[in-house]
Amino acid sequence: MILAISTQAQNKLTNAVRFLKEGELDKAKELIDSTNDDSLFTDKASTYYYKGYVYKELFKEREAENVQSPYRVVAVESFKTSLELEPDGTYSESSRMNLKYLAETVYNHAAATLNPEHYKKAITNYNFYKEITSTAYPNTNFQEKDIQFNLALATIYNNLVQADSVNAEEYYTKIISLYNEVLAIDSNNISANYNMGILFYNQGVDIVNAMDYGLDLEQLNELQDRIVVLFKKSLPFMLKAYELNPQRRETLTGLQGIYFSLNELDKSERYKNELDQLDQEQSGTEGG
Amino acid sequence: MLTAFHPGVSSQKFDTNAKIKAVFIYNFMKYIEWPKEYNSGEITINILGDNQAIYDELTKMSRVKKISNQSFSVYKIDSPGNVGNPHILYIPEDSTDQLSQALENLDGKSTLIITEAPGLARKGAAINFIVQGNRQKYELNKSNLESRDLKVASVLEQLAVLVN
Repeated sequence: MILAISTQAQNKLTNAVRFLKEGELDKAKELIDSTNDDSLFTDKASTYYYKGYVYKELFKEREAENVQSPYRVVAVESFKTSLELEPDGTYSESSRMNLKYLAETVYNHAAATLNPEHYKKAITNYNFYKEITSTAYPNTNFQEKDIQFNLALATIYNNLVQADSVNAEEYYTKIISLYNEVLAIDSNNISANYNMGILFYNQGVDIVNAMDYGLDLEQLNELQDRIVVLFKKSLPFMLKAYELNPQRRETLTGLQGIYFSLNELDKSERYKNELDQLDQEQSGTEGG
Repeated sequence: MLTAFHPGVSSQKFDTNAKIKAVFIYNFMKYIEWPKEYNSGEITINILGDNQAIYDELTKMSRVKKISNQSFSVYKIDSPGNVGNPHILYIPEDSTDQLSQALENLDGKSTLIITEAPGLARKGAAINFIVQGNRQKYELNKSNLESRDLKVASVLEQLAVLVN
């Protein structure tokens, strides 16, 4: 009697695999799900591996465009459990490869949702991508991807500052934190240096832009103190960007603007001249 | 093939100094008293030369502000010979060499002369913009104001760098 039950139970997995191979995903899912509460299966890497496989196929077939696909979540959890049960077993390498594949889909969904409307999903997916990848390949270095993601996310927050000025301070704090994370990884990152410089510069410009013409003189002087602090904060980052690439137009324009706003007109003129020279060289190259 | 993220931020093009000077000028208009004959009609501000940034700021300001119910208008003039009899003559730094001729043409007129180059408050300007510690400040020469029958409120004196 016990042997009969065991065989019947064993058949669940075998049949699930058969349905999987035949593309009968609903039947495969039904059978593989029915192994959940069966003690014969709950500690077996093979069960979780095939469960992961069935759910991965369901994701591919039915939820490939769903950036928060529930099928994918189950697939990931199943492959992870399979790996935990047998880190060096029969299914481990294939589980890692499947996790890698799923991680890439999650990463692509993070990239696709990195816009002002859906950026929170992008953050969730990016963190999920790292979690999955770390499980499959614990020694993965994410620094390059973190830099890319943080810079792009900071750009989104910059857009949100324009659209939602009420919460600008909150966004600015997040932006500065993201650039600082990038610079902690790579102090020579030109985009982070340039963007940080522009961030402080634009904050100063925003204050001047918003000034009422009827501001009294004491208030005007207080605001001047605030903007000078911001322009001076922007300067070292912009100078670093210049050091990294003296021929980048945006950096030359930035330095010209910062020094102009600091009333250091000789220095502003110097970078304006460099920009003009660059323009001349470029037009000469194009013409020649 | 993973999708790439695309970072990018751009700087704002905006002449912060021109806006700050416009706010100063509004305060000068508020705290300087012209003789009675200047208190009707519109306040005129003439700018000598072609400083577009300060012209644009003052023009924007003229659309939203008045001084004691007097509206004001801003004009660019191309030479000191066309200076007229404005409430304010603004001489940008690159027109500084025309100050002495402008002074001649404004002899006996109650025009507030504002300049923006070192030393000009001692050469006939009543108010001269200067830079101190990266900030816009202004020198004020009370004798040059009074010689044109202009009276200055104490608040303007207190915050000025006084020049004789």
